[in-house]
Formats: sequence, C-alpha cells, structure tokens
Amino acid sequence: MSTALRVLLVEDSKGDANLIVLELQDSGYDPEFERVDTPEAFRAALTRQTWDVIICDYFLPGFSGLDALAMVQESDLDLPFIIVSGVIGEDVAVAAMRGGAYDYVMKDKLVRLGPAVQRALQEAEERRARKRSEEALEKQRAFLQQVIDINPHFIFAKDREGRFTLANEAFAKAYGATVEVLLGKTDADFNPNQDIVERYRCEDLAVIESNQELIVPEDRVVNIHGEELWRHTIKRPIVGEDGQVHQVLGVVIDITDLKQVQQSLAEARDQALEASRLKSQLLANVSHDLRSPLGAILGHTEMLQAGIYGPLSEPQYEATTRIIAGVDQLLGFINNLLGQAQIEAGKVVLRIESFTPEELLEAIHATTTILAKAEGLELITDVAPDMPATLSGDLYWLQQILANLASNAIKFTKRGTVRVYIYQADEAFWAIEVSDTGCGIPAEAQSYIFDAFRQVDGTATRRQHTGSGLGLSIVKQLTTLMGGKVTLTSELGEGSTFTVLLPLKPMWRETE
Amino acid sequence: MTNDALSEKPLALIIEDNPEQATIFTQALQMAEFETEVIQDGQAALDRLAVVVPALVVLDWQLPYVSGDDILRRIRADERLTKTRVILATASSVMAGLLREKSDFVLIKPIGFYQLSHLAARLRSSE
Repeated sequence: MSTALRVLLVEDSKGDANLIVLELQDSGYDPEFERVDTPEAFRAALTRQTWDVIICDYFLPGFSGLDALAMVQESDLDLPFIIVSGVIGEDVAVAAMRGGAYDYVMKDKLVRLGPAVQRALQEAEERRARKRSEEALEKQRAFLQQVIDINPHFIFAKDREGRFTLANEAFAKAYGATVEVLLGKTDADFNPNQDIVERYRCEDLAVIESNQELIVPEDRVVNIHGEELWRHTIKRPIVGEDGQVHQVLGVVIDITDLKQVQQSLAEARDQALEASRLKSQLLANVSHDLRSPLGAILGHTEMLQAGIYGPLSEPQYEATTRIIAGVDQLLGFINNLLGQAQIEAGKVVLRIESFTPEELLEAIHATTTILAKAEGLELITDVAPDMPATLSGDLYWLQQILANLASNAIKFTKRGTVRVYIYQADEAFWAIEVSDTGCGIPAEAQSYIFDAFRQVDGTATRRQHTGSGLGLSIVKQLTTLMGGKVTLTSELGEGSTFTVLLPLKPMWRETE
Repeated sequence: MTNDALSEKPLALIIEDNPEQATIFTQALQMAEFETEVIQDGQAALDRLAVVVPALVVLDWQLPYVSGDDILRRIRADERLTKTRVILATASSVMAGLLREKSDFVLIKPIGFYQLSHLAARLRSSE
C-alpha cells in the first residue's frame, strides 16, 4: 500500500518532474504534487496548502534552489527541503545543507530520492514532536512562574555555585531587579553586605551537602538598602534526576511587621506588669504604713478601756468603745482592699491547715464584739455540738470571710441579734452561718449584692450605709476559690441569713 | 534584770523594735500575768535567748540586723527552748499565711491589746 505524499516540485522540466514522481511511486509513495518554476508560483503554493516535502531543482531559469530554500526559511515553515540536481558540486551541496536543506540527490542517482524523503519526513516528525514538548514545557514553566509570582514571600532556587535558577517577582524586587536579570546571578551581585551574603551561602551549601531541610524560625538580616529585616526561612534540597542534590529551594517570609507587633505587645505587657507590680507594692506599703499607727490607736484605746491608765467614767468608756469600733471598720476596709487586690492579681495563696472552730471565731471576738455592743446588739457565737474538733482550710482567709459577714450583719441591723453559727451541713460540707434581725435585702438586690465594688460604682446611691462594697464580693470570691458556695435567704424587715458552705476536705492544691 | 528562776510568773520576751508597740505588748502580757522583758534588736535577742528560757516569745518579723526568721530558727534549734511558744507579729497578711506553719501563732498588725492579752492568757492556762 502506498503512502500519500503531498509534494511541491520546483522544477522547470516536465520530464524531470515525471521522473521524480515515478521514482517516488517506486519508493512506495502516492504523490499528490504540484510543479512550480517561478518564485511567485512557489510562494503562492507555499501559502495555499500544507506540504509534506519540497523537492527542488537546483538550477532554474531566473530562480535557484537556494532562493527557494531562503523563501521557505523566511516563511517559518518547517518543511523537509530536498535538492535534486543534475550538476551540483560539493561546495554548492554544502552551502545548501547549511542554508537548511535536508538532503540533496543527483538526478543520475534518483534511486536515492525515496530513502532521502523517508529520512527527511522522519526527521521532520521528530522535530515537530520535540517542538511540541518544548512548547508544553514552556507553558508549564510560565504557569509555575505565575504561581510563584503571585506569592508575596520570597521564593528562589540556587545551584551549587549560588546562581539563581528560579526566582519570583517579590524576591527579584527585593533585590531591585527583575526575575530575568536575577537568573544566573548570585546574592553577591546584589547584596553589598558580605557577612549576610556569606551567611546565605553557608545555609545553601549546608542544605545541598546534607540533603536536609533547614528552617530558621527567625533571624535578623540586612536588605540591600541596609535596612534590618526579620525573616523566617525554609530551605530544601532539590534532588536531581541523578539522585544527587544540585540545587537548594528557598522560601523566605518577611516577619518584620510581626516582630514589631510582638515587640510592642511585649513592651505593653511589661508596662502593664510593672504598673500592676507598682500597684501591689503601693498597696502593701499603704497597708504597712496604716497598720502601725492603727496599732498604736487600737492598743492604747483598749488599754485605756481596760483601765491601765486609771479608771474611766462611763462616757469615757463609751468613747473608747467608739474609737475601737472605728479602728475595726478602718481595718476591715484595709483588709478588704488588700484582699480584693490580691484576688484580682490572682495572688491569693490558699493554704490547708488544721484549726479549731474556736480559732476561727477569734476573728470576731475582740473588736467585733465591742462593735456589736456599741450598736446595742447582741452578738452570739455558737458551734454545733456534732462539729468536728478540727477543720481544714486557710484560717486567715476564712477569718476574713467571717469578719466581713459579721460586720456586714452588724452594719445593717438596728436592733436585735447577730448570730454566728458553725455547723456541719452534710457529709461533705461544713458551714458558717451569719444571721441577723436587720432590715433584710430586697429580692432584686439579692442578685447583685455580691458584685464587686467596681461593678456597682455607678449606682453607689443605693448604698445608704458606709462601706467599700467589697466585703460581700470578697466573701463570694474567696468562697468560690475554696470550692464552696454562699447562699442568702432574706426577708424584708425580718432579717437575713448568709450561709457559707465549705468543703470538709479542701481540694485546692497547697502551695509552698 | 529579771531572774526567771526566782520569779513566780513565767517569762515573756518581747522582741520588737517599735517602742510604741512594745509598750502595748508589755501591758497586754502583764495583764495575762507574764513577767515581761523587751528587747529591741535581733542580736540582743539572740544573746538573751542564750541565757534565759522564756515561756513565750512575741517576735516581730521585721527586725533590724537579725531577721525574725533567724531568731525563730535559733529558738527551734535550741533544745532548751522546746517548750517556748512563739507568737509572730507581722504587718503582712501574705507573710502571715506563710509563717503560720513555722510558729505557734501568727498575729497580723495592728495587734490589739485585748487580742494579745486574751491569747497569752489562754496559752498560760493551757500550760
């Protein structure tokens, strides 16, 4: 079976043309051909249709094989071009081959034409295939470039000598160049800072030699403008087809902004911590400075009252009681202020120690009793007979809870009794119950009565009584810290009962 | 100088550098039937503790020269003083929490006359 072949014949002799066609037929082709013998006809034939091969006589009147060849080259058509000639010297043949001819065949050895055409077609096909794959490759490369160009981080690859084999726009821009300019050059061509360039080089070689990924979470470098940058770097070896590493692939993320934010955050945090520390220090100092004179006032007043400085008249005795009550209020306020500061700072250290219910009641024995008496109230303290002899917990803070509840009860009770009762509530909890015969607390107030001072600051008018408004808030917060809870029952005009339930076996972790 | 061997009342050492405070402590402890002696600095306190065996020491935690901690440790290490009860006085509620395990009692300043007197009397009666 013959192979179809579209042949453009450049030949002035019809006879020669026939010989050529016959020869092709003999070689197994089924030629469909057109014969031209002028440049115009040749050009027209080239543009009109697609050809598989051009077979061209060397000498034509007013036209030559080399002219035809030049026209094919100009037209950018990749067509096998074979010269067939009667008289052709070796020098002409070489010139034709250099000009882009595929082959040349002597007219007296036309038998070579078939194989020559076959080889030419084969080569042309191979060339076309190569071109197609090159085009595909170029498309892919362009796509890859687009992918890395859209990335705002620096992306690049370098070979063993440090020459860039790949770079994205962001990276080239950082070097004040274009990607095209960058390729084939090294860091040293752009960055004047030798130390930095040397550092990059060491990193690259380390990756290539070790075949290991390198991650530098953050470090400081200098850019080409001498500006300091913070960067996060990832470098990976690229393994070639031979299994060896010849290149390093790098991604660098500029984290300068992030570092600046981090730094200002850290500064702000340090300032806040310092302010908080100063506040604590101030509170501690104030506390200390208040306690010493209060000690003198309290001690001497109590001594006066006890008759150490001689007998007192009844009004004098009454006055000492008032002074002691005032000191007690002031002290309660200082303790609450400090307690609130400690709670806010998360600095309350709860300890677990053994104590007796009586030791707890000492919190209100001396001064609170005097205070109650001064208000004309009866203060009763009771411990249930089935109460364990010793309890576990933090005595200091429990005393503060009790002192707050007791002074609160005294403050809001005009007449009658304030009763403190310590009992075991159930298997797991014991209770401090403080009840009074005071004015009671309206239902709507019961929900916010435990709120801290600062939260009720704006509505301070609802408090007609003296006090910081911290007492009950501290009671609630401390009780919660201790794993207990506070309940309140109250009836207007009848009185209130605060009950603090506390675990018999405290679970908070003992520190120190 | 007090001779505790001849005295009927037990001896209480008040180690406190603030004279105002020392006066109040003295009166409170005398009311609780203690013989009292005031020492104003830590070194003098150590010297005195090497000689006498007090039933009770009221110890200010913040003393000049020798800290309350050093004195407390010396008392605890001295076999002669195993029966000596120590009441620590501190102005810091935070310290109070930490010190409670080390001493028999911790009182937070301001320490009332009645408060100390009642506590001392209770200690005496429980002897």
